[in-house]
Amino acid sequence: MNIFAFEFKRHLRMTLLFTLFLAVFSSGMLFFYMFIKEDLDMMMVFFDRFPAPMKAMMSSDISIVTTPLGLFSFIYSFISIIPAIQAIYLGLSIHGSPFSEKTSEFIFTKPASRARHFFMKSTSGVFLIVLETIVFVTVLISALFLMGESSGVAFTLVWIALSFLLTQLVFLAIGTLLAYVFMGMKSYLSVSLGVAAFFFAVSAFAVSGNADKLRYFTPFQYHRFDTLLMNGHMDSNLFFFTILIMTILLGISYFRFASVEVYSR
Amino acid sequence: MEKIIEVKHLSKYYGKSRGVIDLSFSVEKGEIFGFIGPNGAGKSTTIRTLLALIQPTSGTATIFGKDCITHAPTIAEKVGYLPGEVYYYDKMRVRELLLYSASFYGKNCVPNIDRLCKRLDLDQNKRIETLSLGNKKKVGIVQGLIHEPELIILDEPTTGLDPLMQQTFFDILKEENEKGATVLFSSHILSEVQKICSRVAIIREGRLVSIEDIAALKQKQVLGVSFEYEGEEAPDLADLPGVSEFTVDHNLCKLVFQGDVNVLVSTLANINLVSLHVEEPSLESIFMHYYSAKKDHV
Repeated sequence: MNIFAFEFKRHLRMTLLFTLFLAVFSSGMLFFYMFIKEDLDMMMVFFDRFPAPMKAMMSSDISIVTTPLGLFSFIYSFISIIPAIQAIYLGLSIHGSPFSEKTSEFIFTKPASRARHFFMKSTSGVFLIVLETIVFVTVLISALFLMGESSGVAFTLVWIALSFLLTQLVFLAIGTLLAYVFMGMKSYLSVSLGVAAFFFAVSAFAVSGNADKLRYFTPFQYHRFDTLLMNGHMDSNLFFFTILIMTILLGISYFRFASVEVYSR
Repeated sequence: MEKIIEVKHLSKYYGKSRGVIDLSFSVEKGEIFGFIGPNGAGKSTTIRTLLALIQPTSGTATIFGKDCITHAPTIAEKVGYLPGEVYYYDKMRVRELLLYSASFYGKNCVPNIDRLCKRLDLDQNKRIETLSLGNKKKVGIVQGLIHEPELIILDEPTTGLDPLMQQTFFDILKEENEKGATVLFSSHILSEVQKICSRVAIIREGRLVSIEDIAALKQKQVLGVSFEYEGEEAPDLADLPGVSEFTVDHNLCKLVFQGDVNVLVSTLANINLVSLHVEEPSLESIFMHYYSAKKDHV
């Protein structure tokens, strides 16, 4: 067992539990479409009566709810904070545990460079997010297939998967950075919750106000499902911006980690 | 003799706080080297620098001839470390933790895991969180020795171990040493150092006070002598070389002696003794005597 396998195994249960929640919710939302299919006009009227900021948070075009994936993305925009919390928590836990659990003396005196530690830990986090994405998309495909609504959505699902993956990876990188900025903290869940809520609030301001530039400060706005569904593709500028943000976050985290001194017991 | 550890003018400051100052010493291949000093003297700081857990402010430290910071992962392959306080993954079982530790060394450590656990009477199936401090320490000992390290670094290793287990631990260390391992043994319990070390570095307030052979240190021993004599005339030993604090109370004489004991014995042979008590002081009292003398000079 190496660092990768150790961290992967250690966080697998929590990731699978969360993935199960996401799978149940996602399939539930898709099957919900079957029940309201006949009354979509009424649903649109219902959604249209939502306050403007709330509507803006859900989608810029309410007509997307006429498809299963559209309805799903419409509602998902409100629960997208939950995967974000999980990804931040994962980053915090993988990278912060040697300091919070005081195992740093044990692990950092083993024959592995700091770079290897960082790379292996980060890779285990990425693999867990990838696993989560695969299950998430598989559930979406399966549900759509069972509903008989799977034709012509393959390409869209690829974009949704990539969008979900990238957003989760940004939050993972944010968690990683937080682990090295606030070393030794133990309250991962409350910190994850607070940080995700902050970005969610920024996201609400970004879509409901005139501060369009704000969307660059919140990962919730980088790759929205509704935008993907409407445009049929991912915004390439935001794709590269996401990669840049992740590189910066991980770069700062690594340099912080490389210079960490382990002296407190 | 090949130097396994070489520390040259090593200084470490934590901001403005002193860690160690201008520390220089070396540990030769195959020796058990003691590193003693009171709490806060800088022992752990030195060890953490050797293990690349912290960066020195100035000076260098090498292990196996390699810089201990830049070659840390390579050096760590041949180093076993036991910290004073052990923290592991609470939810893991002992065997899982030991196998995880072994996975870093690229060799089959299972026979050593089984041998050492048996020797230390450690149940491998227990979860770490259920272990007592002593048993966690045993896990620390095993994980530090499973890969048959060429250098064993111990920082206050016996904390939490009962006397019987301490003896087993010392026996294991001696065996590893006989197989060729070099040992750096840091402690503030001098009797431990006395039991096992051949040389000792004394550190105080971050500075190296002295490096002594244990045998030479013992040569500096101070004896507390008291005897009861028969007869009217009190013997006068006050002028005997090495005698100090000579007192006579009724027929009971007390003195402190430092020097060649043969001189004292031959002098006492001329006295009609009723009883004789010679206290051989522990290394601790030698250390305190030596230490306070050095302190006075500083």
